[in-house]
Amino acid sequence: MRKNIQKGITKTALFLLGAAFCIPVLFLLSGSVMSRYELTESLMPLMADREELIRWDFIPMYPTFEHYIRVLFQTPQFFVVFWNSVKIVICILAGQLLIAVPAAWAFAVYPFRFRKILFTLYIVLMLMPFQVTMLSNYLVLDGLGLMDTHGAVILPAVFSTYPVFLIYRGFCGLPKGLIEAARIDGAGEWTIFRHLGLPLASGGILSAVVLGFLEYWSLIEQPLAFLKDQTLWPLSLYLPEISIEQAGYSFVASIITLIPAVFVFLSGREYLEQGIIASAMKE
Amino acid sequence: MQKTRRQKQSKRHPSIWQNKFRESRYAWAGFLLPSFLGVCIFVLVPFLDVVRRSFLTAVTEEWSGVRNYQTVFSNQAFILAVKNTVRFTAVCLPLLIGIGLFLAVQLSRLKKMQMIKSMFLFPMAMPAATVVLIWKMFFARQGFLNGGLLAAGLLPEGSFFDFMGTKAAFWVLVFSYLWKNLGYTIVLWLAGIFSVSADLTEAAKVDGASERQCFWRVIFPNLKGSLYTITVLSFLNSFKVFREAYLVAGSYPHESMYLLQHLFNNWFVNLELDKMAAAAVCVGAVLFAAILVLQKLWDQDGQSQE
Amino acid sequence: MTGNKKRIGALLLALTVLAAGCGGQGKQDGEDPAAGSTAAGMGRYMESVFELPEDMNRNGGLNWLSDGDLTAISFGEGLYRSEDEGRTWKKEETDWFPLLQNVYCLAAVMGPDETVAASCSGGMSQAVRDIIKEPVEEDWEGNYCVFGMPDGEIKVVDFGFSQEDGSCIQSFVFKEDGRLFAGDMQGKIYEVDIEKESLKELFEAEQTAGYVGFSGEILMATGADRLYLYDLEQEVLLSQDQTVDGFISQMLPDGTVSYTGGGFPLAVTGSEEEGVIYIACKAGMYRHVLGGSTMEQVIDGGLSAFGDAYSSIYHVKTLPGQEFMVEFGPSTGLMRYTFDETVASMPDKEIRIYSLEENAAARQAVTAYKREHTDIYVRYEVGLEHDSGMTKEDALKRLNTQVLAGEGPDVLILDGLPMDTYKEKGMLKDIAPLLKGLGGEDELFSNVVEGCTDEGGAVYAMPMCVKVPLLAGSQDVISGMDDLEQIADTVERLREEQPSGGILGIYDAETMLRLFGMVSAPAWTDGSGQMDVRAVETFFTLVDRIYRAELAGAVPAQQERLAKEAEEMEEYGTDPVARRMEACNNVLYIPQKYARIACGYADGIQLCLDTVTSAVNEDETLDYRIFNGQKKNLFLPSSLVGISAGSPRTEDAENFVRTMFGADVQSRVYDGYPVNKAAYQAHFDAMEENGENGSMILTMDDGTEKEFTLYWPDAAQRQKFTAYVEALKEPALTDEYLCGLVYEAGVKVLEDGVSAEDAAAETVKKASLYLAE
Repeated sequence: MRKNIQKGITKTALFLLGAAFCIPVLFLLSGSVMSRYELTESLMPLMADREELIRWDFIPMYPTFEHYIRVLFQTPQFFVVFWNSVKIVICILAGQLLIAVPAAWAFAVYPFRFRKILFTLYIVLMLMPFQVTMLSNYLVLDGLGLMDTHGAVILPAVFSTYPVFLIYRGFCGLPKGLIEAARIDGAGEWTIFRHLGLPLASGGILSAVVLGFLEYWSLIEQPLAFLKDQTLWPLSLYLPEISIEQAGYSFVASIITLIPAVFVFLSGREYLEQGIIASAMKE
Repeated sequence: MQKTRRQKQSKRHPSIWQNKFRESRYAWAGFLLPSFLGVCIFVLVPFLDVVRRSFLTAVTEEWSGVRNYQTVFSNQAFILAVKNTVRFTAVCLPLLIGIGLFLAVQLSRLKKMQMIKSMFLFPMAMPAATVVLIWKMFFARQGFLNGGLLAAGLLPEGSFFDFMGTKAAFWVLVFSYLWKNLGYTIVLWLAGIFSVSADLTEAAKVDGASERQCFWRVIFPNLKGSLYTITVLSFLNSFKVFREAYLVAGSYPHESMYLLQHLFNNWFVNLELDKMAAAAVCVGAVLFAAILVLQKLWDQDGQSQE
Repeated sequence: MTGNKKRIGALLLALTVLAAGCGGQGKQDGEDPAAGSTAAGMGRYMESVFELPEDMNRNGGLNWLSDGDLTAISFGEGLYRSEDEGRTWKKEETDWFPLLQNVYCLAAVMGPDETVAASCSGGMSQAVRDIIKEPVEEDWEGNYCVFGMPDGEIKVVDFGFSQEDGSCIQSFVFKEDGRLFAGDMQGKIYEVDIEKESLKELFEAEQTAGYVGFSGEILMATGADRLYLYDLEQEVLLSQDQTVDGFISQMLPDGTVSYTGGGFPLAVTGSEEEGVIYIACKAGMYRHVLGGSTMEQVIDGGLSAFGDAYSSIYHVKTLPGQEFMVEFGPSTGLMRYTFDETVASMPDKEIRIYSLEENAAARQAVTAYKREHTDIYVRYEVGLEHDSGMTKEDALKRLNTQVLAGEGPDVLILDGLPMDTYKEKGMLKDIAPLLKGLGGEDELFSNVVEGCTDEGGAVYAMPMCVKVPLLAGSQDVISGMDDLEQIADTVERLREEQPSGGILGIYDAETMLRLFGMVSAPAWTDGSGQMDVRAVETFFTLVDRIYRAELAGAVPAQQERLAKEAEEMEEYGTDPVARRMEACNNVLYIPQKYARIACGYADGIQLCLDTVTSAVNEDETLDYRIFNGQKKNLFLPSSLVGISAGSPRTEDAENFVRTMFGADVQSRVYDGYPVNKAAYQAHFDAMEENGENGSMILTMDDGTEKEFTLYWPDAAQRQKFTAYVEALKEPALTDEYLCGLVYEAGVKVLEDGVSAEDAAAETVKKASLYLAE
């Protein structure tokens, strides 16, 4: 009985905490249906730097879909920009899977000579902030003729060492004995990789995909630096700094940016768990 | 005794053993090569260029030896930025990992936790510009936090705090970081917790262990791997907090919020490429050493687990 | 449970995609206009300019008569005729024009048989009433149309558009075969039967239609995001052409189809080929086959007058042999486009101009340079993309990357860029020899050039125009205000003499700090870029004294009124603080008795200097002088120009800079006073001395209203002002960030009573991080 009450309290507390985490989304939702007048009223103290506090009505007095209509139907660029984001992210994720998964396998399973140092190098490279390598990246991409194409954003990201690290952990959990046994049974390296490694590390791979999606969906610095042509810009660049005239537009654009990301992690999470539980079961 | 056994084995199956050795020797190269090539071109080469620039002057590219390093080490801004970044990391990482673990454990004891988990993950999906506006709405002078404090009577009438303009800015940043990253931290911890086979915990419970003992003695030791992953990821994400901080507080925020990335950003805008390159190389070297040490620690434990 | 979630999630995503897809419908087929071009390699349309007489500036559009003559009806002057295809024009007297004079004309066109159709709005003059058959009330106001028949008969018809719903005939268009069509404000398109004086509605567009053209028997009307195609034979609206619609949506992003000042951003016309139409817009001239899926660019806007920022299209016509005649307004002229196969289709030389934000002076220079050098492609890039996720630092980073990678611009407008850094790092070229070489008509104010020269004799940045800080007030008062300290002394003295009433009329701390900071900021940093704590402290102390003196006798009613004014400005999107930096705005407070002194910068003559001189003239006791703060004789440079050191196209870049400082471009600069002497004088010549230049109603302190007339400065005033301009010595170049810190701390001194010493120390401390980097 006590345990149940305790559990109940814990659950409620966690639920409230989670809800608190989601408050900004509520702001977005309510803001996106607010008419321009109400938005101005609410946000004016902040924008004009006055001395009063701002207000916010979660349920607007005169809800309107004008901002949605404006963004979805009257801004042809939005369509282009949205699909640019989709294209970039899908290409990056696909490329990463092709490149990073085998690399992680190599690091996890084969004790070759420079493994530690190389892996550490990979991690350090992953941690370098973009400003530092921006110019050098630019020169390399320019030299390869990729400037002002989507390739300039996609290719460096495909070879990012971040997924290698994530998936490496996934592969680490594999029992060595299994691999040896398979070898002795005469399986080739590739077969081992495909039939043994991949399924068991699917959890790691999926977490890399989900985290990767979330990161590349809101990528700002690289497209800004390498894409001059505005028709190539992804959605993340299109969100202007929110000012009064643009407030409604920005809110709606934010929501539309949010939806695919939410969708991905919602569906990805289930697979994630299934994968993890499956690998646990196998033990 | 063992030597003999091994020798006997190799004598018994020489061909198979040699075959396997040959295959696996080159196999890793096949798996690694595409990644390695790509990393070289797109990641390593630019970094080497940065290393090169650390020995040259910014625009005219004349040789200046170690002068850039000397300048950087005595540069006030650099020292401040390093201090702040270290402080930020030292505060954030344990907080995130600890709170994440705590919440994950609580969640692991519940049955239907899907929805709550999703709610925690929401912040990760929010774009930077939106987050910035929300923070402004909360933490500016005219923001909700002030309003709340006023209503709760904690703030004297008429005085508004601009949180971003005082030392509190540091904690706003920490809060922002925690808010964004708790979600996946919890997910990863949960994954780790659940990967511990249920049999073990059942057995422990049968033996009379309490929940707490169950956790610390049975589950926790198995979480080292997750801990390693989460630490590195959290460290990486502590760098990502820059864009939001920059959008909220500009290029020159309050002193306590001034991180390495602010410095790099400003140096680049002002064409101080030489200093930036030298600083980056230093930071890179330190990170390299730190990660090597971490790896040693983990691998020691990690090996014993596997 | 999870399956449902997935389904919901998938549904959401699908909805989003669909919704976004609907929005992009038009874009699907339309090609990126920059992609199309003429045949590879050779051949380009060359532009020949036919200047139109100035009196023809505002006209109703070109009319092509059946006898080969061209006419145009100027709203101010009457009918002009050209018998040689537009090269020369003669004014003609007509019977019908007197009816259109002194009336607001919305449209005035002539048909192939010389029938005239005009639409006017307002009251009816006596001449009009004499013609109209029915009696009309005395104060009738509305929309009526005047028709001049080829046989001399003049008709006036009121089609019944009422004033209340704002509708009226907004445009008339004649078809080649003489049929007349009209469009009203609400988007309806009619065919007009002049004989029967009736309108027949053909169709209704969503809003007021823009340019109307014809392709065979199809009438084409431009909408904000589509082209209306009406078949005159079948009398039915044809289905939309997706490609054209998408193209138009892209070219008219803000939905404006016509300009209130005349002209259109986009025009459409047919050609001798059936089903082939041409669309003229900012990006150039495009060819399209109705029903097809491509827009082919035949004339590149970047290489012709189409791309000029300030021109709009008045009329487009295709001539036999695939030539074009385009009328640009309001003063650009007539352009004839002929295809020349011997010229390369894209100029092989290119020159790049860069500015962080849109700069009008640079645009003028680009237009002028393009005209003179048709073999060079001029690419003008604006760095900061508003309405996007880009911040100023992002734009700067991108610029730096490009420059360091060797792909940077050749000529830079340095406003907003870290000029000091560029100078330090050797990124700018020394343009002193270039500037010294400008003589004769291109001569610049030597004191400005001197002011921009550094110790080594080099000039790295030269402003295209300057703003002049002025101080106005009663003569005996301002003569003793030679620097900031004297200003503080005088203000305190004035306060003693007059315990109540506004002195400067400024009650906002930030405004006051910025005003005096305008002419004091250069004193806050010493030669090496470090901050001078003493100077900052002095600034705070002095401005504090002024502020205190001002507040000591402030009249609450005045304060309130000013505060309300500021609030209203904010709601309309104007920055009230910025407005109070202008001398012309502030000087009006003196006759209104809100202030006794006024200071600020002057950036022109029209509505600027004339305000100051008019105020001074009206009141004998008033005078003006140069405004000095902690520094004296400063000028505020604007649109600073520099040449990139790494640019390989030195000669072209230098030529471009010469164009920028040439009399022609400089006379079109309105962001300050041109540094080119001839252009500067030309600005004064724009109007006759003492000419009346409008008037405004001033609300006095006690609520009464007074009319204030603006007069153009006369010779004496011109001389006096010019003497001031020539006495200016130093440019007020300031670091925006440091100034911001000073103002922030200053507000605390003025409002919160923080001591000047502490505030200065705090400022320097905050700045230390910035300077330490």
